[in-house]
Amino acid sequence: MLSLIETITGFAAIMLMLSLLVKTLTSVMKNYLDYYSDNLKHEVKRLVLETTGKTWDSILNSKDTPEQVKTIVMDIHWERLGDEFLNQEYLTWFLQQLDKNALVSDLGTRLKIHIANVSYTFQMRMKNLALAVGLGLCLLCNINAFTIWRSLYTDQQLRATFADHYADKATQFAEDQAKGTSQTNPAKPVDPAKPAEQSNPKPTKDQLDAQLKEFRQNMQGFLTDVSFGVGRIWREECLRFKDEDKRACQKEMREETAKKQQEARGVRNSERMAEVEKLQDAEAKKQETQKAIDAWNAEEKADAEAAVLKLAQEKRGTQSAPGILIYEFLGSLLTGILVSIGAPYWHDILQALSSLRSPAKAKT
Amino acid sequence: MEETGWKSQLRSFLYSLQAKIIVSLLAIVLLVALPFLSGCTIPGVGKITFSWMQLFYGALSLELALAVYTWGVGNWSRFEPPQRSADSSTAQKDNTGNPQAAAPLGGH
Repeated sequence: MLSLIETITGFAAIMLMLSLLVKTLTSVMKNYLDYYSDNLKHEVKRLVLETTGKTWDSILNSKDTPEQVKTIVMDIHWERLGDEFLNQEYLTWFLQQLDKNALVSDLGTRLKIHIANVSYTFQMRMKNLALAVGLGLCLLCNINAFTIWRSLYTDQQLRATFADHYADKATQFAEDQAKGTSQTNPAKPVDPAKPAEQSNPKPTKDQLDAQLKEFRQNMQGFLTDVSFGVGRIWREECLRFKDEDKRACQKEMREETAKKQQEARGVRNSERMAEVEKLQDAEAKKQETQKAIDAWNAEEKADAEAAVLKLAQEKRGTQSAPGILIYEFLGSLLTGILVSIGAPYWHDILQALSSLRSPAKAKT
Repeated sequence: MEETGWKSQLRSFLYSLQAKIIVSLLAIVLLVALPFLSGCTIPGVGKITFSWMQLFYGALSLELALAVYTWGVGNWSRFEPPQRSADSSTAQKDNTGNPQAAAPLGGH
């Protein structure tokens, strides 16, 4: 029972860490691409259509629209605006500039719907962005949830490490990131009651670069810590459709490796023999020559043992290439979906499991 | 006027559908053609050392992530106001008499 709890804890810790990485990458993309301004602009276009009966483009392209109005529209910097732009006073003026006959009588009520739309569509877009980023990251890095689970379940030492130290590390990282986010969230929609100067603040280039650098470092750390279940599809040297082709490729690779190892041994031996030749004393020379021969034999034996081990591993790996492809694809797809659920979910699970694990561990 | 609006909506729908079909076909072509580059030497890039299965996996993964992005985050994910010709006074009168209901929320 404890092993199962430990496996789930370790798994949740890995998913939490990955979710945090996805969150960081999502945040970087959100800040680069500014979806919030895009949603705001879209909603204003809809409002214009509802109140004037004309589309945004038709107003801008119409010959009847005064040049002054076109200049006003072209001068709007959407990236600087927040929800407070959807204010009855501003928009009554703005819509009447666009069209004198604009229907602005019940604007207040409509604006509430439009503000809700902006925030809803922004949130939905961010959830979908997290899903796309999570899927992209897990599929391209080939982070397989099945292999991670199986490795944790079968390897006791690995399980203990991930359920203890790694879970603490992930929790700490989540808490640090939550603190950082609450202090400064550059692209977060602002409170409409706040003055316009504080709205929709754009992060500076340095902040974005720092975010990207942090992501890169954390990703490297993750790949170092969770080396199992990651990138198998890219490491497989002989991923061939037919078994005969696969075996031929493996044989070729073995021969090539053996040849390279032999060459490397030869180079090392030549270096050793060159050192021996420099010696003057005959007895010392004899001893060093014997040492060089022993070293050669030891290296040859080690290489042969490694080759036998690799051959045994290859023989044991009965999974066909299409099988590996399907297994890795489905596993990575599952990881992407699990990771996209969100860091808070995995954090809560980890907290619950940690509290469950402590008494269980005390009993054993 | 009504018929013209209906026709223009149908035309824009067909255009967008056509664009989607073309993009989907291109994605399928890429998925099938990319693995054949395995082992080829591209000038300026060098020899592609990945096997065709790795190339297939990479293309499939990338396309899946891009499809989710385009569906959920890109412009296809949003509800676009109908591109009707509303410069005439008739259209405006209709609209002013009966305000248009709120459109679906962002297509979700």
